[in-house]
Amino acid sequence: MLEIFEFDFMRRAMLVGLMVAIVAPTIGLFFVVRRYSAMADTLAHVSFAGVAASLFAGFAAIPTALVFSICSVLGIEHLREKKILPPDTILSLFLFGSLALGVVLLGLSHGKNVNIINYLFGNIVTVTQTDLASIFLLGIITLVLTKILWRQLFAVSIDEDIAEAVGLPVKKLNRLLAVLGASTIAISMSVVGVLLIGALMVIPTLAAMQFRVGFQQTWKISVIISVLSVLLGLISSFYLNLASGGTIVLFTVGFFLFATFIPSPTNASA
Amino acid sequence: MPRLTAPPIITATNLSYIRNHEMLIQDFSFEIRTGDYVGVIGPNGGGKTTLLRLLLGLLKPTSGEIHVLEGKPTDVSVRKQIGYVPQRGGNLDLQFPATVEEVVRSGRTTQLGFLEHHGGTHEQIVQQTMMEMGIDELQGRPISQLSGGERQKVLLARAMVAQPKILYLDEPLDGLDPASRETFYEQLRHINEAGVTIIFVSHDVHAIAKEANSAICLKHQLVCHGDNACHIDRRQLRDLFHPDREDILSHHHTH
Repeated sequence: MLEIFEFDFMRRAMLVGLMVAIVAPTIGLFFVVRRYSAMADTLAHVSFAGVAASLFAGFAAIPTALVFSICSVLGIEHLREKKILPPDTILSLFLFGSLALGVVLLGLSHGKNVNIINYLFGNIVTVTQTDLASIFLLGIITLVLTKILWRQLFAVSIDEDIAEAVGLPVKKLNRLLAVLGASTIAISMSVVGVLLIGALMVIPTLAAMQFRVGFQQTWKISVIISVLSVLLGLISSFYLNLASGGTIVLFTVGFFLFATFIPSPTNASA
Repeated sequence: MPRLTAPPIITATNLSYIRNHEMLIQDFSFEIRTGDYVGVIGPNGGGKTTLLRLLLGLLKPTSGEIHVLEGKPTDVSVRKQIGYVPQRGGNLDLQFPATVEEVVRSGRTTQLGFLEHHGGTHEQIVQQTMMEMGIDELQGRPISQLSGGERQKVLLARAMVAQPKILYLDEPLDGLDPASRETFYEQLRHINEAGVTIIFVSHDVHAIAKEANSAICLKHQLVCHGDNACHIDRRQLRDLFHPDREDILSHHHTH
């Protein structure tokens, strides 16, 4: 078992995987409870356009994807506040627009798109030392900001109207949450890929919600599920030669199915 | 301080609100005094909730002015002094993973400093409020497992932990059984006796006549603003609700 840690790339993969496993459900929890899970998918597709642009222009992938995502979330939140379109159609507009842009940019890249599969489906073992540093920096910033604003984000998630009525800066908090989501997706691309990152943000939270406990407890359970899925996924993919991103997400699905069969403490005692 | 000589806490002047070319509120002017218990009554679609959202600063008037606690409704300093219980639990998702205690505690969010730890006095206020509302035994329970009456008590407790000077309620008792309603009204009486001004939106004329000491009756226009709901003119009340239902009037005068 320990031979997995003899390789530099696997040690890096484990470190990156653990950081992403903590950040993804932390931000994903706020998206899920606000029924805004589709935002994660949309941002993932926007990140795909960012990666395509980086390959086309020769820029670094993670920062380019982050810039694309942040510009998009600000646009999405602006349109959502204007209330000129239903929220789901705004997300569709950005999702398909980004996908189309990504495909066109890849077509123009002429042979530079050999790495695109890694970004689409994730290949954690290709993470470089530079990637590791960027992912840890962004991950720690995301976690610290979330910790500081936890109370405010929770209050806005329960009811935006009440939060605004009693003086919370709802619009600013919504934009910040969306930017944190963009940051989470940028750092998670190498772990599960842009096509599966939404799963790592959403499924551990859905599994934790099956326990029907409080918000803090739900968050803790979702992080545990996410960390276990990443560890088990990486180990399985190493020894069984499986695709790491898909294997990690399959473990989260397994935990979700397992959680649906466990009676919640309150139900069990009733 | 006697209520009738108390200073105004809310003043609306020539207030109008138009949405999609439809006049929902037309040229309202009224004053609400400190310590008032005001019922806002009118038929469904008559503009009650719109008026409340204007007072809360969630909507911007098309014309006219509102002053709340000597400021604008949108001032953060004003907003920190109000409590709000929305219609049918507002946007609170019943599947939301939170306990009673977490929801109530979230009501103190704006009272805490940016990096201030929730504890000490803040936690005492949360525990005290839950006890006063009779929900202290439910504090660890997920909100998804509460009855309608219990949920409304939780929302009232969440509004009250901010120790507001004004409490706004938008038809908070819809769908509750008579016993839950009576308990809720009793709690509102205590809150009002403690000096909190209450603005209670309802279509239940009888309850407002019994509970409130003042009423604003509206049907897009201000029909009347009386010091006691029981003194609203019979004809106005009939025109306000159902011109063909005399029974509303007979019920109204039994209180």
